[in-house]
Amino acid sequence: MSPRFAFFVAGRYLRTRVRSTVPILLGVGVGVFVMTVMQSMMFGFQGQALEILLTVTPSIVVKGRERGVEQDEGRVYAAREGTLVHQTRLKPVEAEKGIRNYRVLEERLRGIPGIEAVASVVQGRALLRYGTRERGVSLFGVAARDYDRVIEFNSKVIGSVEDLVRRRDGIILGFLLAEELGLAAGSRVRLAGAEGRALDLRVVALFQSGFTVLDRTAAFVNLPAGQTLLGYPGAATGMAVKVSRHDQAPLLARRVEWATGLESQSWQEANSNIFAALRQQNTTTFATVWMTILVAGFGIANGLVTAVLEKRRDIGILRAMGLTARGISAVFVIEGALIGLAGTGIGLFLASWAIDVMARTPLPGRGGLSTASTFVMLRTPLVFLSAAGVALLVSLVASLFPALRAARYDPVEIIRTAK
Amino acid sequence: MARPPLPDEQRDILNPSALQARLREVPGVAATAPLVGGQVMLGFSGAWEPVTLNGVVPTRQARMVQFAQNFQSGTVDDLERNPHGIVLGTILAERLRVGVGDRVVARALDGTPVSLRVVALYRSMVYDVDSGTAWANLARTQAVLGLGGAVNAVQVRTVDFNRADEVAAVIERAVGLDAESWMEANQNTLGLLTMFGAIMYVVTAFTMTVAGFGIAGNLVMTVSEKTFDIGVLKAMGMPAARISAVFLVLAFLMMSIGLGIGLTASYFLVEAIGRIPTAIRPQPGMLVISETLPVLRSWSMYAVSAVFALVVSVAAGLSPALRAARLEPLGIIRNAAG
Repeated sequence: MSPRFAFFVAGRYLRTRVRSTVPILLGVGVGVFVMTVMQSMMFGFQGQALEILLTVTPSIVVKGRERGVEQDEGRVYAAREGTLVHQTRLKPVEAEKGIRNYRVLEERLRGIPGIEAVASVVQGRALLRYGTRERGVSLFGVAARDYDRVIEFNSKVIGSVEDLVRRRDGIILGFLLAEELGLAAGSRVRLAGAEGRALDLRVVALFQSGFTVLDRTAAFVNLPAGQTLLGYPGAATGMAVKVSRHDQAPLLARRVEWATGLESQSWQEANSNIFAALRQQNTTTFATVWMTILVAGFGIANGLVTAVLEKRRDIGILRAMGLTARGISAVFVIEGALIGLAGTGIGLFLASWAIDVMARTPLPGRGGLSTASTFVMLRTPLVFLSAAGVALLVSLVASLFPALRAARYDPVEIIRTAK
Repeated sequence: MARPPLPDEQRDILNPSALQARLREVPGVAATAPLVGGQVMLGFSGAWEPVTLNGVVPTRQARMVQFAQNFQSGTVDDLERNPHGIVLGTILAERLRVGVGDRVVARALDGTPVSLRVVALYRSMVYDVDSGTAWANLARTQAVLGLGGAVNAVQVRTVDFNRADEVAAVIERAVGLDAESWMEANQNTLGLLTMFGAIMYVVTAFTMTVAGFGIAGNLVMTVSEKTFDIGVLKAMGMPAARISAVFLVLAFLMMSIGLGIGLTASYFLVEAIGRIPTAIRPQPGMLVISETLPVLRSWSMYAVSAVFALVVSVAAGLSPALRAARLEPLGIIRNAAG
C-alpha cells in the first residue's frame, strides 16, 4: 500500500468527524500553548539572572584567612532534629589579619596562564546611615580600575567608576538601597564597620546590576576606606580573579590554591546553590506543564479508540481489499499525527502572541532574582521546537495503542458478522 | 497582626503606655506591644555583622506574633529574666560563630558598645529574619540605641488577620501616627507571590480545560453513535430536556471517575513531594528556608480541584447534550429504516 493512500484515508476519516475532532485538537493546542509560554518565561527569567550574575561576580574569588576563626574547628554546630546545638566552647583567637602581601600576590596570580585580571578586595559588612535611616550593607573596598577589569563594574554604574577613583571618600551604592533610603549621587552618608570605626562618605554614583540581592545590599568604596572601616589596615580579605575562558574557572581555582595556599572558589562553585534552586524550580514547573500535554494525549487516544470502534466495518473492507495490518495502523497513526500537528500549530501561534504580550506586562514590585520590571521572555526557536516535539511525540504514542488494536481486527470475522 | 514599621524615621513615641491604651480602644485591635527597633553592629571576637535589634517585652511579644515557638536552646522566660540577654537569628549566630552563653557586643552607629549575653537562638524560617535580626529587652535596647524611655513603634495584633489594612487606616485617623499593616509592609513580596500563584492557577486550569476538551470530543462522538437510540427515545415521548440530561450525566460520570483517580493520585504525590529534600543552602534573596519541598496539605486544595472539574465537565457536556436534544426523531428513524 502506498503511504499516499494511508494519508488519503486518514484525511477522509478526519473530515467526516470534524465536530468531535475539534475539541481534541484544541486540547493539544492548549497544551502546546501552556508549555511554550511557561518555558519561555522560566528560561527567560533564569537566563537573564544567570547572565547578570556572570557579569557582576568574579570568575574566581581567592579568600584570605578570616580573622578570629583559626581555632574554629573546635566550635561545632550540628543540625540535630532541626536545632543548632553548640557542642564545644573554645575561645576563638584573633588570627592573622587578612592578606598582607596582596600586591605581591596580585603579580603572582597575573603570571598564571589563563588568568586575565586580578583585583584585591577588602570585604565585610557595615552599617550605613543616611539622615535618620540606617541599613546593613555588604561593603566592598576595591581599587575601582582593577575591579573593572575583573567584573563589568563600570558598565553597571550609573555615572562612572572614575568618580570613585577621584574621590577618596567616595562610595557607590546599589540603586535599590539608594531608593529605599531616598538618597542620590551627591548625598552624604555615614558608615560604621568593625569595632565602632566610622567614616563620612559621599555617594558618587549608583550601582545597577539587575541582580536584586546586589542592588539592595552592595556598597563599593576605595580600598583604603574599606581597610579602615573593616579593620584590615594594609591588608585585603581576598582577591577577585577573571579568567579568559569561563569553563576553566574551577580548574584555575585549584591552580590558584596550589600557588598561593589560599582557599579559592570558582564562579561555578560559588553559585552551585543558585543552580540547585533553579533546577528544583524547573522540575516542579515542568512536571505541571507536562501534565497538560499528557492530558491532551489522552484526548487523542480517546478519540482514536472510538474512531477505531466506529470504523470496524471499514477496516474489514480495507483489509479485504488487500491493505496490510501495518497499513491499517498507519492510517490511525497518521490521523493522530495530523491532529497533533494541527493542534501544535494553533498552540504555537497563540503562544507567540502571548509571549509578546507578557514581555510587555509589568511585574508587581521587585523581589525576584533579577530586578526586571516586566516578564522576561525567552524567544529562541528551541522554546517553540521543544514544545512542538513533545506534543508530536505524545500524539504519536497516543495513537499507537488504537492503531495496533485496529491492525489486530480479523477482516473475515468483521465482514461475516456485519449487519 | 500589624507588623511594626521599619524604624527608619525615628519619630519616637515618648509615651508608649498612653498610646497603647488609646490603641486598645480602637475596634478590631486585640493586643498591643511596644517595640524599639534600630540598626546596630553586632560583634563577637573580631567578626561584625549589621543587625536589626528589636527591643521587646518578651512575654508581651509572645502574645503578638508567633514568637515563643521560634526559640531554640532557650525560652522567652530566659530572655525576660536576663536583662542583658539577647536572642539571635540562627543564620546570624552561625555567621558570627556564636552559641548560647557567649557574650556579644552591640554597638549603634556612633554609640557606645554594650555587652549582651546570648540566651537563645531564633528560627522563623524566613531568611531575612533569621540572618539579620536580634531581640533584646526593651530597656537594654533603649540604652544601646540611646533612646531614653521612648519607643519608636507600637505593634498591634488585630482580631482578624485579614483585615489588618482596614484597622491600620482607622488607627491612622484616630491617633495621627503612621500605621502600616502587614500587607503594606510586604506588598512587594505579596505582589510577586500573587502573580506567580495566578500563573500556576492558569496553567493548571488549562490542564483541566484540556481534559474537558477530551470529554467534549468523546461525547460528540457518542451522540452521533447513538443517534438511532436518541430517535427512538424521542419517538417514545422522552422530552428534549431529559435527552440532554442523559449526556450531561454521562459527562459528569466521566469526570467523577477521573476526579476520583486524580484526587487519590494527588494525595500520594503531595505526600511524596513533601518528603523531597530541598538541598539548597539558605542564601540572601531567599524568602523562606525549608528542609523539604514545602507543600500545603489542605482539604480546600482538593475541594477547589473537585469543584473546578465538575464545572468543566458540565461545560464540556453542554454542547453535545444540546445537540442531542435538537435531533429530529422522525428523520432519524426514517433514515435508519431505509
